[in-house]
Amino acid sequence: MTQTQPNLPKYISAGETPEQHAAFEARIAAGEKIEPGDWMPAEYRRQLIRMISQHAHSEVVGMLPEGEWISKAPTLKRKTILMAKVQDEAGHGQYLYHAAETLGITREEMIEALLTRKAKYSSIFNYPTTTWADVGMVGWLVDGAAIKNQTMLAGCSYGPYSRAMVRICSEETFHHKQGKEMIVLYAQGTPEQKQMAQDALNRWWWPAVQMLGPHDSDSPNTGELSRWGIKLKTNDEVRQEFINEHVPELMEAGLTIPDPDMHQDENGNWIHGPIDWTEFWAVIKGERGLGKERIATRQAAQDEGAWVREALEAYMARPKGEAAD
Amino acid sequence: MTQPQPTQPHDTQWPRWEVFKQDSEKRPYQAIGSVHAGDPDHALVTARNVFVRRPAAVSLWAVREADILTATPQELVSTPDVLGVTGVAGLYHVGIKKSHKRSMTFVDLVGAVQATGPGDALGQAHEQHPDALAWLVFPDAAKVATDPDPGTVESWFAPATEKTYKQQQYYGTIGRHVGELKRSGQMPGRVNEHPHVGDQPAVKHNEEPVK
Repeated sequence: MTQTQPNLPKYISAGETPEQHAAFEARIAAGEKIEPGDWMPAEYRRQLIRMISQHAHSEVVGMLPEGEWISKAPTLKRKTILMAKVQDEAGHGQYLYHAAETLGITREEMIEALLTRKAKYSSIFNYPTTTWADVGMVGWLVDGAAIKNQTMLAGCSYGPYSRAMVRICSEETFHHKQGKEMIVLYAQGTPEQKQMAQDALNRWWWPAVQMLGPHDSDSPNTGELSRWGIKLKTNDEVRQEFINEHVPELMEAGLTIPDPDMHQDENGNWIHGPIDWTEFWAVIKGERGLGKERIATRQAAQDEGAWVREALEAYMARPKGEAAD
Repeated sequence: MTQPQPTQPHDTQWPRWEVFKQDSEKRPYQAIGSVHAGDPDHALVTARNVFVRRPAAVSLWAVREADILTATPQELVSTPDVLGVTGVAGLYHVGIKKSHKRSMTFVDLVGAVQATGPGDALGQAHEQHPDALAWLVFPDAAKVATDPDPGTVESWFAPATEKTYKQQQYYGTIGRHVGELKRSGQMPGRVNEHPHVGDQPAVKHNEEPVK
C-alpha cells in the first residue's frame, strides 16, 4: 500500500479521512451491521476479502480428506452421515464465496487464487487422516475448534459474513456431534478400538490447538480486525474456550490428552503446556503435509468438470425456441 | 457493485441470482444468499442444493441480481439518484431489513407495490417502511419459482426434513451432560463473557439464538 498520508495510521487509506473512520467505528460500536452498499474503509474491505475467501477455500479443501473416506466407511449409517457432512462443506464454501462477492471480488478470481496457491486455506486440512478414527476425531476436535471461531464470527460487523456464519454454525454442530459420538463409542469398545481413538487423539490434539492461530503476541492483524468488529476475541481467548470445553469431555471418554503439562488453574481454566509451532509453520509453508496433493486433487476436479461447464454454456447459448428436452 | 470481468476464455461466472426461501406457508420469503446459474431451472436446482439441505422449505424464488435494486439508509443519502432508476412498470416485491440482530437472512419480503419502475418501487418501500435498515425491490415478472404442486414440493423439500441424522438433536447427550461436568468443577465457564471491539466492550445485541 502506498503511504500517501504520512501523519495518519496506515489503516486509513489514501482519500479517506479520520472523520469517516470515526463515524464508521461509531456504527460498529453501536452494534450496527455494515451492508455492501455502505461506506467502508478500503482496508476493511481488503481484510474481509482475505479472510472470507480463505475461509471459503478451507471449506472446499476440507471436503478432500473426508471425501476419501466415504467409500471406506464401515457402515451405511456412517457413510450417509459422512456424505451429508461433505455436502455441507460444499454448501458452506458457496455461502462464503457469496459473502466475499458482495465486496467486489468474483468467484472465478477466488478459485484462481486457490489453484495457483496465491490464496491460503486452513493448513489443518494438509494433515493426513490415517485411520477411520481420524474421521471422528476431525469432527470432534477440528470442527469443534472451527465452531468456536465461527460462533465469534457470527457476531462480526459485516452483514453478509455474519449471516453466512450463523447459517454455518447451525449446521456445523452436527459435524461436531457425530464425531464426538463416534470417538466416545470407540473409546468404550474393544482394546483395539480404544487404541485407535487414542492414536487419533495423539495425532490431532496439537494441530487442533494450533489451528486457532498463533499466540496473540504473534498475530499481526488482530489490532485492526478487533477495532472493526471482525474479530471479537483474540486467538488465545478462542483457544482457551476450545480447550476448556474439550479437555474434560475427552478425559471423561477415558482418553489421555497428549500434553503432560495440561492442568486446571485456580479459575477453572485448563492450561496447556508450551506449544511447539515447528510443525505448524512447516505445514503452512508446504515443507510438510499434503498441500501439493490437496491442490492437485482440487485442480483435477476443476479440469474434469470442464466439460460440464462447457455443456451448460452450450445449452444456455442454444437458439431461442429450441426444445429443452 | 463491481461487475465480473470476463477475462478467461471459458468464463463460468454465470449470472448471479438472489435466492428467496419460504420455510412454511405462514412465513415470508427471505433473502438467504445467491447462486450462479445459466438459466432459471439451473438457478432453482442449485439454490435447493446449496440452501435447503435442511431443515425446511416449501418454496424457492430466484431473481437475477441485475433485476434487483437495493439501498441502505446511507446509500439514500450518498446516492439519492437510486430513487430515479427507471425500468418496466408493474408489480414489484418489497423486502426490508428490520434489525441488526444476528440473523441468517438479509431481508424479509413484506409485500408488493404497483410502481412505474424500480426507483419508484424503492421510493414507495422507503415511504411505507421509513425505519428499515435496508430496502430491496424487484419486479414480479423477473422472479422464477419452484412448482407449487404438492408432489413437487414433497420431492424437492421433504428429504431435507427426513434426514434427521443431519440434526444435532439426533445424537442426544453423549457422555455426561456439560452441566454435570460444570457442577463437578471440571468444566469452567466461558472464557470471555464480555466480547470486546478494540478497547471497548461490544454492545450486547438482542441476538437470536443459533437454531
